[in-house]
Amino acid sequence: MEKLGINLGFFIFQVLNFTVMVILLYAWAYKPIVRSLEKRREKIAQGMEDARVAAEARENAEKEAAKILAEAQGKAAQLIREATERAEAAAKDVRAAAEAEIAKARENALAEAEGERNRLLSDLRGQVAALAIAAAQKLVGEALDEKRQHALINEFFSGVKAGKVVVLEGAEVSGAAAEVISALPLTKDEQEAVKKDVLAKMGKQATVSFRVDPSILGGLVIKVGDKVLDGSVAAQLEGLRQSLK
Amino acid sequence: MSSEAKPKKRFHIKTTIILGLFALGIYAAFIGPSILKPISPVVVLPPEETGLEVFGFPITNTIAATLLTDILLIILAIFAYRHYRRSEEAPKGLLNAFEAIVEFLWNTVQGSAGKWAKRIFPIVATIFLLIFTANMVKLVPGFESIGRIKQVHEGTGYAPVALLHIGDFTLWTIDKGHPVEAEAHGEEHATATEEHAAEGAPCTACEVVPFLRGTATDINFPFALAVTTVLLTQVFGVWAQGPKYFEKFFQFKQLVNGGIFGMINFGVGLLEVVLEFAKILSFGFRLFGNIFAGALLLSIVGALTAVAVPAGLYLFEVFFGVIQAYVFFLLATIFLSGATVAHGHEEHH
Amino acid sequence: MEFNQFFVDGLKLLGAGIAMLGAIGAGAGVGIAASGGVQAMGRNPDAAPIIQTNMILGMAFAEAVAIYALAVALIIIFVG
Repeated sequence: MEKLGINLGFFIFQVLNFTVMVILLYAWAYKPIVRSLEKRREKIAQGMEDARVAAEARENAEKEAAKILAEAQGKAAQLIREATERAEAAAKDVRAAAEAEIAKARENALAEAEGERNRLLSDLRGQVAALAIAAAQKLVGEALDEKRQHALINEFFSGVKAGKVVVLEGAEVSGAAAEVISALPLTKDEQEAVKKDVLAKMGKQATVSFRVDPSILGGLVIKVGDKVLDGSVAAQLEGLRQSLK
Repeated sequence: MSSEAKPKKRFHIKTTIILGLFALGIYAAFIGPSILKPISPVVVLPPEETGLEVFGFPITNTIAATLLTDILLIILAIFAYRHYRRSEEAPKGLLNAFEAIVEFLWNTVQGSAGKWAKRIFPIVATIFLLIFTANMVKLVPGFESIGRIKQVHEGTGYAPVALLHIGDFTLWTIDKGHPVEAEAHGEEHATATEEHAAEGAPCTACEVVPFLRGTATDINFPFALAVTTVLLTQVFGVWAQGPKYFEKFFQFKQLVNGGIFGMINFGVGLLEVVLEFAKILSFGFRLFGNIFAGALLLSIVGALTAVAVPAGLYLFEVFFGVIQAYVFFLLATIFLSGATVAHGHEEHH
Repeated sequence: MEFNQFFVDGLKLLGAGIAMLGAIGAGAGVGIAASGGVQAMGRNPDAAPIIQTNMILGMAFAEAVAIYALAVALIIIFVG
């Protein structure tokens, strides 16, 4: 063992040296260093914890803010939508009212104009009849029975002969609405007669409207759907002209 | 330009220094006078006495190196103490490195010892720091080369050459070019080769006994640490578990109740006692073997090829010094913390 | 007598050398331990500290065999 160098004295010296070093280093180095390490670690952990809490708080605040913002935005959008709807509704109402007003006014004006024209035309009718009779008397040289003459003339204008509508004789019509066009306004009785005749042909549910168009000169034109029964003088004249050619 | 030129310039300076050292090594080993030539080492296991004595206790060269290591560590510790008394902040420079090492050790011990870490830590950390510092210090030039010249009594010595005279003090070196065969005692004066034995030389066939030698190359140092560690393992075992700790070694319960397997377990328990002694052996010889072999390798390779190769080996030695310190520390930590945990408990994990 | 002494000294050195053959197995064992440890750390880097500790422990036990061989060799040379 001596040659290996194992020597009790040196061995004990090394053990003592180690013990002394443990004590000295523990007192001067390990204790303060480990304490400061632990303190630093605690501080870091504390800092991390603080940061985490702060981050959490901020996150919460952000979430809250986002929620509030979203709510406000929703509310604002709803308000705007409601307002827009209301405004649109109001505008629609106004426009509809205005349109209705305008339509009514125009209708009124049209009706008035029609009435005026019809009145003028019916005034004219009497005069035209008188003129026609006078001219005929001058031409024929004999006085016709005035009553008969009137009847003839009325027949001419109204196309109604002995209470029957001439154009409807033997014609088959069907439809929901009929329009009766005359050169001069028909009298009430004539209208009634025409209406009755037309309805008799077409059935009770049909409606009949009257229109005045001086360009047909005389007689009646009855339009039912796309079917036109032309008993007007203009058409007869046209037919005459065609046959004369 | 200046910012780019600086590192380049420094690089050139370093290159020049390294090449100069190489040239110096080549000159000393191959061209220069024979006194500069490296000498192949004498393998000596036991620590050599430097001639100093304190209260009759001889100071060997390894003990001197141990004391040097201690002084370095104590200076560091005092600086650390002064620093940490003032502040909790991390220090700067060398102390920071010291703190980093201590922190690393502390984390390792905490990881394996748990709540016993505070009690185990001073022991294992001192083991690490002592071995680490000793291994680093022994690489400083001058270790194992500066010393007292002494007469050899057998084998080959070398003729002494005086280098410097300062008053009464003379600086000697030995001349590799003039090996001298050592003769039997008593005749040495007569057989001294006259032309080479310089005036006033203390010896004729000389060898150098270094003042400082690596601590771990003294077998007493690793064995002192190993024995202390293993003894402390038992102490910690009893401290943590009470008398139950010894059940690991003497499993009488198993012997009585366990049948044939109980007898086997009892035998295994007795083997654990042997294992404790084996621990001392492996602890001690591992450190000693590694460091001693490293030192031997360095000096032999240095004697064979004086240039460039030893530099790489020095680097290797630094690495091994750290690794051996860490291994010793880690094993001590594992054994000490293992002793604080009940044996049967451990097996279930 | 003189010759026998030299013969015995030579055989001692030879015996020490043969004793160090025990380092072969230890070297292989340490290599295997390191290989396994590094593989395990590569597969599971999170467990690196535990693996490292156990790896070094295993390497130390494997190395112990080489150390016994060294002890025997030293004893043969210096003591026997």
